[in-house]
Amino acid sequence: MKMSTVSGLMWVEKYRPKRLEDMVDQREVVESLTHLLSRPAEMPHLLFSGPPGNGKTTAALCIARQIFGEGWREFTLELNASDERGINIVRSKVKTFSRFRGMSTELPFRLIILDEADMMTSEAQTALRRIMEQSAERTRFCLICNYSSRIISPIQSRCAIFKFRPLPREDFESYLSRICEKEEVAFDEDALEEIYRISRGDLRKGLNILQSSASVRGSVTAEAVRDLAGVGLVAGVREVLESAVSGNYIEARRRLFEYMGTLGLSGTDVIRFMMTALEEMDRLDSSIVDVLAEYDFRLLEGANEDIQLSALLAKLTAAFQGS
Amino acid sequence: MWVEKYRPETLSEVMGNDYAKEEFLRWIGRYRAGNVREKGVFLVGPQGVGKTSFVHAAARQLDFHLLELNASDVRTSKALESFLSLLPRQRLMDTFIEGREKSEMVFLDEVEGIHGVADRGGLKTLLEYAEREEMLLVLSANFPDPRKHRKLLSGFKVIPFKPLNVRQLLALIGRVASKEGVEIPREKMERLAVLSRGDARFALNKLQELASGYGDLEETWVETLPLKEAVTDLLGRVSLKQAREIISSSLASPEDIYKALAESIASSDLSPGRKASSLDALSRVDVLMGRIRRKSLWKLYRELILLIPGAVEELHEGEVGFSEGIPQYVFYRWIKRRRRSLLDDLSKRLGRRLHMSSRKTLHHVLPYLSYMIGKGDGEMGRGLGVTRDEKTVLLEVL
Repeated sequence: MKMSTVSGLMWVEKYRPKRLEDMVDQREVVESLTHLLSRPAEMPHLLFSGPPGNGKTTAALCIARQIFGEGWREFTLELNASDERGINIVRSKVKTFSRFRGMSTELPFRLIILDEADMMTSEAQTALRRIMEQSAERTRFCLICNYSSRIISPIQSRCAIFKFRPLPREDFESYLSRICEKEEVAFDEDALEEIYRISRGDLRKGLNILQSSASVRGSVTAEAVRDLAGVGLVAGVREVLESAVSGNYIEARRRLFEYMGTLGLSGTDVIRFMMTALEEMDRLDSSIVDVLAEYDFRLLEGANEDIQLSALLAKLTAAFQGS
Repeated sequence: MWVEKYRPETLSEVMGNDYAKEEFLRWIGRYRAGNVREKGVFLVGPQGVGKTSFVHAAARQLDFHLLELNASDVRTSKALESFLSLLPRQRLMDTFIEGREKSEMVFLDEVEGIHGVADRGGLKTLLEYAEREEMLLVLSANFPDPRKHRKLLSGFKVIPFKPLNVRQLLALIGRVASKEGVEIPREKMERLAVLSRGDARFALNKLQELASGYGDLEETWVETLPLKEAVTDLLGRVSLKQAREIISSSLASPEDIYKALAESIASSDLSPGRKASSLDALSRVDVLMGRIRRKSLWKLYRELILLIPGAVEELHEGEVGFSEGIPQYVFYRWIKRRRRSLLDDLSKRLGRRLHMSSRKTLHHVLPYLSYMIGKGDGEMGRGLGVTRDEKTVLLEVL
C-alpha cells in the first residue's frame, strides 16, 4: 500500500493540519506549544489529554514536523501502547531508536510519540518512567491519552500537561463545511449539525461520516447522515441484546461469541458497546448500569472471559423479562 | 509410543511456557549461588503440557544427575528408606562412570497421587533426606491440594505451567505426522489440536491411534475425560460434603470442572432467571480463580472447591445435563480465526498510515470503509489496497 494513497483517499489523513496554527480550535494549547517551539532545545516531555478526535495526535505530528522539518519521520518514533505487546518491546524500541544521535540536525534529541498511554497498566507505566529517565538525554516523549488521571503521578510530574478541550460546535461544523467546499460536495447545514450530534464532537468520527455520506450519495444530507448513525461495532452487540430482550438467551450467547471470535473483541470492549447499545434502545437504567459495572469489574478480576460474559448475559436476559 | 519417541531432548525443544522456563532457570541460577529461601521447585499445571519433559531436558542441559521417583515409590516411608539406602552406592557408580561428581536433582512427579497418612510419612522422609544430602528437589502436580500440600506450596518455589495453545499443538501434530509419514487431512489435524485442549500427550496418543486406523475424533472429546463423570455427579442432587468430595477426588482440575459446569448450565433449557443465579455463583468462583492465579494464592483452592457447589444448589436432578460439545467461546474463536486475522492485518496496515492503533482502526475506520465499499465505492477499496479476501470479510462482518 502506498502512503500517498491513504493520505489522499481518507479525508482524516488528507485534511490533517500540517502546522499547529491550522488546527481546529484548541487556541490556548496551540499558543503555548508554539511558544515552546521557539526554543525547541529546551522542550520538556509533553502529555496531551482529552476526548477522542480533538487534535492530540495531529498536534504531536505538527510538532515533529515543525521541529525536524521535512525529514521528521527519521527523527520521530510513533508507538501505540495498545499495539505494543508489553513494556519490554517499548523499551527495546526506544533503546534502538535513541541510540543514534541525529547527524543532520543540530537538535540534541529525537521525539517519541506514545499514543493511548492510558491503556498501560500502572506497572508498565512505572517501567515507562524508568525508560524516560534512562533515555532523557537523547529523547523527548509526547504521551497521548484520554484521561490524564490514569497516568501515574511520577510521569505526570515529569511532563508539561496540555488538556485538549472538546471542540465547540461552530468550529467543528465550519471545518466540515470547508472540506465540503474543497471536495465540491453539496451539503445541508442540518446534516452537519446531525454529524456533530452523532459523533459527539469527535472530529475523526465526524470526518468518516462526512466522507461516507459524500462518497455513497454524492452529497451530504441529514437523511444520509442518519443512515450512517448505526454504522459501527456497536451494531453487532445490539443484535445480541435484541435476542436477549426477546428472551432467547441461547441465541444471544451464540451471537455474542461468534461476533467476538470474528472481530477479536475483548470482554471490556463488549461491555462498553452494550452500554451504548442499551442507551440507544432506551433500556439503560441504574440497575442495568449496576449489573454492567459489576461484570466489567469481574472481567478484570476473573480468569475466564466466557464465564463472566455468559453470566452477564443471563442476568441481562432475566432483567429484560422482569421489566 | 510416539509420546516417548518425540519427547524433547533440549530445553529449546520443549514447547511453550517460556515464562515458566525462564523462571525456573533464574531460580536454579540463584540456587547454585546459594541464594534461595525455598526448599526446591514445585511445578503446577495440567497434564501433558511438558512438565516432565522440561525437567528431563533441564537436568541434562544444566548437568544434574536426575533421580526420578513417582508417587508409588514414596507411598510409605519404609519403602522409600530402602530405596534411598541404595543411593550412595548408585552415586558412587555414576561418579565412577562419568569420571566426575554431578549435583543431584530428585524429581517427584504427580505429587497429588500420594494419598493418606502413610504416604505423607514417605514424602516427609524424602524432604528430610534431600535437605540433608543437599539434593535439589523438584515436584510436580496437576493441581495442588491446599490441605495436603500446604507446606509444599509455602516452602517451595511454585512455578505454574499453562496449557499449550492450539497453534503449538498443531505444529507438534504436523511435525510428528510428517516424520511418521501419516497422511491425515489438515482439518482433522486442526480438529485434533482443538480437542486436545492444551494436552500434548493426549494429542500424540490420539494421533498414533488415528494413524493406526482405530478411534474416531469426536467421541474422544468426552470419553477420555474424568470431567464428564465429575460434572454429571455434581448435577445429580448431592450434599455440600459429597460435592466437595467429588471435586477434590476427581482427576479433572477444579477449574475445568467449573468451566464445564458453566457451559452445561448456559446451554441448558433452564429459564434465564435460574441460569442467571447459577452462572452468577460460577462467575464469583471464577473471580476467586483469577485472584489465585495472579497472586499464586494456591491455598485459596480450598475455598474455591467449597464455592463451586453453590452453582448447582438450586437445580433439580436431571434438569441440566453435561454439555458434550466444544465450549462455544472456544469454538467460535477457532472457526473465525481466519476472518479475525484478515481484519487484524488490514487494521494494522491502515492504522500505521492513519497514525492510529490497530484496535482503534478496527473500531473507528473499518465500519465506514465497509459501508463505502458495500455501497459501491470501489475506488476506495482499490486505492487503499484492500485485498479481495479482506473485502469479502469486511462486507460480511460489518
